[in-house]
Amino acid sequence: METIYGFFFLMAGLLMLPMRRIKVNIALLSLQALFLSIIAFSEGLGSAFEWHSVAIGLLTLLVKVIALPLILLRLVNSLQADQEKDMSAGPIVSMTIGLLIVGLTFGYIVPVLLQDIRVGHDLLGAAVATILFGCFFVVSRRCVLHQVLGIVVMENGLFLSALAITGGMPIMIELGIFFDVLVGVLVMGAIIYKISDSFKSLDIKRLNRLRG
Amino acid sequence: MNNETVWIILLVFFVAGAVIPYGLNKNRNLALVTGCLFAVAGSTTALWMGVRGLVSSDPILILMGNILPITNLEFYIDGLSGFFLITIALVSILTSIYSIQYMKIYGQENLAWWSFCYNLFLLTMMLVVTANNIIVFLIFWEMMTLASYFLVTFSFKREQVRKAGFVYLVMTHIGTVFIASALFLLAGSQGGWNYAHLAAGSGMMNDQTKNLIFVCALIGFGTKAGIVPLHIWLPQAHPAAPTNVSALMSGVMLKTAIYGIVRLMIDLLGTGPSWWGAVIIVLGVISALVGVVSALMEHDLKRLLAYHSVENIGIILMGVGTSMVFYSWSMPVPAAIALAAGLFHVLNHAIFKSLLFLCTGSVYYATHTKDIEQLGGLIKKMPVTSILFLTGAISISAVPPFNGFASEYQLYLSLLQLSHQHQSNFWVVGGILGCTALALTGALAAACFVKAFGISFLALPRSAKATGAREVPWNMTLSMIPLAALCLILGGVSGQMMNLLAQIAVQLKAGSPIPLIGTYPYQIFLLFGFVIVILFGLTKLSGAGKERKSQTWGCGIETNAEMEYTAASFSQPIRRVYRPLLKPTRSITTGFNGQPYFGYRIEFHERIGSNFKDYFYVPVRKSVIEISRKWQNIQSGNINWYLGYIFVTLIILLVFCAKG
Repeated sequence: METIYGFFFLMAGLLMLPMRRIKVNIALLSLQALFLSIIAFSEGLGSAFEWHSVAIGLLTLLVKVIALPLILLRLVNSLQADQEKDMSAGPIVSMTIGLLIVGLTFGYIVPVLLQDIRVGHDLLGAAVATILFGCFFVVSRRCVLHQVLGIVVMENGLFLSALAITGGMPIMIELGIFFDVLVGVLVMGAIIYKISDSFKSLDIKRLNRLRG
Repeated sequence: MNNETVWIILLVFFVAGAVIPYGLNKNRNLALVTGCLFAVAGSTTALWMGVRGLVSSDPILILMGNILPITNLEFYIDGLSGFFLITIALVSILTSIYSIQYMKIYGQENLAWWSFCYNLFLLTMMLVVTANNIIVFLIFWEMMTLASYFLVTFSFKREQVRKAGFVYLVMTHIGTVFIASALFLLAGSQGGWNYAHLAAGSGMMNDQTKNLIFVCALIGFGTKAGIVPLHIWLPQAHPAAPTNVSALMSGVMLKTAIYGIVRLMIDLLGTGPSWWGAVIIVLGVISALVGVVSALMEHDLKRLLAYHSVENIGIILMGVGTSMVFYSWSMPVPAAIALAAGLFHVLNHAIFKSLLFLCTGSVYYATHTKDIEQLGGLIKKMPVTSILFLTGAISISAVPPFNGFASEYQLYLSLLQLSHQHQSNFWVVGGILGCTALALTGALAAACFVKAFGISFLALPRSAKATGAREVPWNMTLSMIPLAALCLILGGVSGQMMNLLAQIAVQLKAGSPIPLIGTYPYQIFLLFGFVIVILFGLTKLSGAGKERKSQTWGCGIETNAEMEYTAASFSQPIRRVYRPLLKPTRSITTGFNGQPYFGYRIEFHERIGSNFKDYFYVPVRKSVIEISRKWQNIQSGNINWYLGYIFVTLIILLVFCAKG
């Protein structure tokens, strides 16, 4: 069952790559986080009740599925920046690279490089691929808002890899991570306001001017 | 008092000297005096510790606590450290007294900042030669470099000074990279950073690593010592610094590099192959000759002295190298004697070089110039300074019975011993050639100081600045007189000194006991002096003619300063002989106003080129700048690109490196 959730998790990330509209991307991100929380729930409720995994699932649901997308949506609305003008790499190229990443992860990285890790094979592949999606997402976009999304995607991937390998970290550390993500997005939101204020645009090409 | 207490007192003195002047900065003079007096007190304490370390048979170990994991702030004073501590402290005491008066010409500057750097500089030099641990050594080594950098750039408002400081900083940092590499290679996977651990570990090292360590250390310490061709910072930094600082830098700071070479190559690294010694001797010979020939071409007194530092470092290295060759042949007795000769020259050079620099400082204090061509006739206006400068000049030119000769004489014997051992034809010839080079160096140094002394102190003043010169205040001369006295005394007790210094070598490398070292017959010179006095007395008694003072006869023309021999013309023959090395380019323009033969003017310019600059430093600098400019393109300023670099790196790491 978890493999199927992992598949959906992966697909949500992959679909984000060619999408232009920010609101669609935010919805996909929220969906991805939802599958993350479902994976956590299914680990907690599957064979025996584990309050730890359930707590993680609940937290994910609260922070990543509900709170973060809301914050981001408010940001997009107030900046009126739904439609992105330009991408550094076009949709088709992005999709191709995304598929290549999936191939690389499932064909080489997980079975060859990470062969010592025996547990949760499929989830681990989805997690590593999602981290790379996040990286590529950040690289390929010129809008600052998209970059924030990319970072959250990477974070989701990292979180899933932790979940897949060890079944989650101690609860205190998990709490810390959630808090980090929340504060990180808030701070990035504030800086985006600042950028849009001083550059009258969200295009990071404008930031080239800062070079000395 | 136990050693720890004395050491803490020393630290407290210097720290107080660094910090308290800031509190008194309202009264600049008071701040300066306080800083200098604390430096004197601290250096005196260091002198006491050094003597204790030199005479005690067991090394003194001072533990000040733990600063880092497996790193103790630990100091270790054996004979070698003690000797260098004495050398540094001796020069520091006298220079600090001198600075009280001398720094007054910088009255408008931030003297508290100067005191801070000065005290820190002295302290770190002393800690470098006593550190017992490579981490501590590197920390203090770097602090010493930084403190001296700020002292060099003290008059930072002049562009030339800033440039010189930059060259100094770049060169010494490159040197530090090599020193750090050598030390860390030596430490390898040993259990600790202490010298004792390193010495124990070096025995098991393979030859290749040892050679690599040797080369790294030679480049690193060579940069600081100023061996040719790494010397280019020296003639720039020394004239830029205040003269009392140059005295310290040239007199003792360069010696910390010699300490590093001796400590690392002879003590820690164990006995190496004989080519190590050969390389050091050859570099020493090159440094000595290039240094002295370049010095001859200089008209700036401080730069002239700076080049002589290059020369003397070369002479010291010849001693150290000879000793290494003897060690590689397992002949500890001649090795110890050669090392002692090198160390003796370290002390002697520290003394006469700081004396000469301080005299130059006095000349600058009185005339505000250090250009020889502007001076002249100072012997009548500044008799005491002149005599002191002459003493230093005679010592550095290796004229008996002064101390420069004493150590060079021992070095001649050691070099001859090299050829006398008949190890191979190379060494039979090499030893003799080394001797010849040393003799040539001595002769050229003498020529150089005939120029320096003759042009700046004799004849008529060449400028208004020199005409208005007056003798410097007593507290400046007072601090130079002990140095001049030491020049003569050390020449006299050279036998005892050599015996004392040979014990240092025995402590470093246990071997058969050293027999009593004989030295040149000093009594002959005493007799010679005695004869002169008697002859002089006899002439007076027999009624020699009375002195008659009158004008110099100049064929009816009134003699003036323009007729005098200049420094440039004095050095012309040597410039001609060493043309391939110096590459002089001259330009002569003649002109006359109106009629020929009247108002006739000739302008003569001759510039000295530098092979090292033209063929090494300029191309290297150019290519570094060019390559950097090419690579600048990766700094596009575009955030996507930067993120892309990270992404690509991540993929590459995952694919290639995660396997291991």
